[in-house]
Amino acid sequence: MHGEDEQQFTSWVDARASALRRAAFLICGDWHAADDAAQTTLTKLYLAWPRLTRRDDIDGYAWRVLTRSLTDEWRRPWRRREHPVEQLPDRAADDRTGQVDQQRLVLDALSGLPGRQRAALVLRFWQDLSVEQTAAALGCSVGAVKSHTSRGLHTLRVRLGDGFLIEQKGA
Amino acid sequence: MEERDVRRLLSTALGSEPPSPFDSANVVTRGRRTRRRRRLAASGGVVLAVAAVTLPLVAGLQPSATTTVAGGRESAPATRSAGPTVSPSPSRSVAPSPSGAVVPSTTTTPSDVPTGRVVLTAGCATADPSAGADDEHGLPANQPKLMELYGRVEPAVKRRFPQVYAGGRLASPRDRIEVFRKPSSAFDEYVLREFARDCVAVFDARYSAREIKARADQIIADRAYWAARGITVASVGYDYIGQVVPVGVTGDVERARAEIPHRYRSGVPVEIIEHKAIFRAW
Repeated sequence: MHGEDEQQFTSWVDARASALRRAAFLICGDWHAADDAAQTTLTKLYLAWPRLTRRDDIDGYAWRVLTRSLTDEWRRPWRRREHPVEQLPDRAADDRTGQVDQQRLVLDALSGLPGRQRAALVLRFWQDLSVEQTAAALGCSVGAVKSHTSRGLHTLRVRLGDGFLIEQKGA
Repeated sequence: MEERDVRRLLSTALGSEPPSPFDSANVVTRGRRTRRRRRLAASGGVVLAVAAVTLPLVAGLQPSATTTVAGGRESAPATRSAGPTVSPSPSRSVAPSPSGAVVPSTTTTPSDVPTGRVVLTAGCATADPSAGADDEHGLPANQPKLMELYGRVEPAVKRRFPQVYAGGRLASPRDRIEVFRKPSSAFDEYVLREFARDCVAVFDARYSAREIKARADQIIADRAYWAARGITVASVGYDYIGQVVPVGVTGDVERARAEIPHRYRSGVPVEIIEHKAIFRAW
């Protein structure tokens, strides 16, 4: 990679690495696995950068690699046992308990979804990718993305209950 | 559940985010390291391929059907002792042309320069042979650049032109990569167009990599046939640049040199070599 390409790559990493990492976490539910997946994606992106800049397909490639690098994780049992949080809830000082409980509830609900449904929800609603872009990232048809999304939403609704959202809005 | 509700849910799931471990400089360093490893692996591909075929044969096992070869060697294609070979032509070199045209000349070339018709991309006009001098690590200074180029060219032409692509190699002393293919104007046009900024030299080959591999597979499949005739085929390799399948035999090598090429007299030639025992360290 030449100097100019490398500079462009660095700028891209500065701007997008965090988004990749967050999306990876929402898909896999584990920050360590998310970091691994994001790192793999960035390394592959570096190797393919000259080709990608010619095709103007950098973001698409990044999402494809990220979701595929998480595929191996999908074949393993999801980490259901516990979800580490940065800080222990401090009941006396402030009311973070509710926040942590809510996070755990949502993560548990997400963990119950098949991997492709989780990925479809994250890419569509967190990353604001179009149905077509999501289909390209997941390597499936547009119809399959719609199906994954619909089923994923339905399952979330069943697991969390309508009351959860109302409570969230009121919180 | 509305779209903004899902977004809110996902935001809740994200929780507090631990500090990011990514630093763009570290990402670049890791990328460079990975690229270096891959290219070193690619340049050693021929050796690995021969070993991958040889060791199972020595061990009496079936070779892997997925053995692949990437990369080439720096030495020149030697004149083979058995069977038809790529016909050697008077040694010629070419002057780089900005337009990427074929410009043969009659200048005497170093011994490792492939002979015959060559197509050069426009980038060869600025190729700098002095860049092939050793760096502080004793490696050609232009090797990283050529590996990067090879990494772009080889997968692309192998995928697009599997019927004609034969192989490729780094040519550090000439500050370029050299690829070999059965004559194909479509191949040449593609390389001239897509890699115009780089220096890629395209040479004629008689057989494609696919044909050479098919010949090697045929010989491997015939091992029992040769064993019944008292000839032990101990190793089979692929030489895409030399356009030959090297076959290592034990026992009566002279008889093998007479009989094996006779059986495979049409198509990709074979070269019979005396197989030396391989010491197995495990």
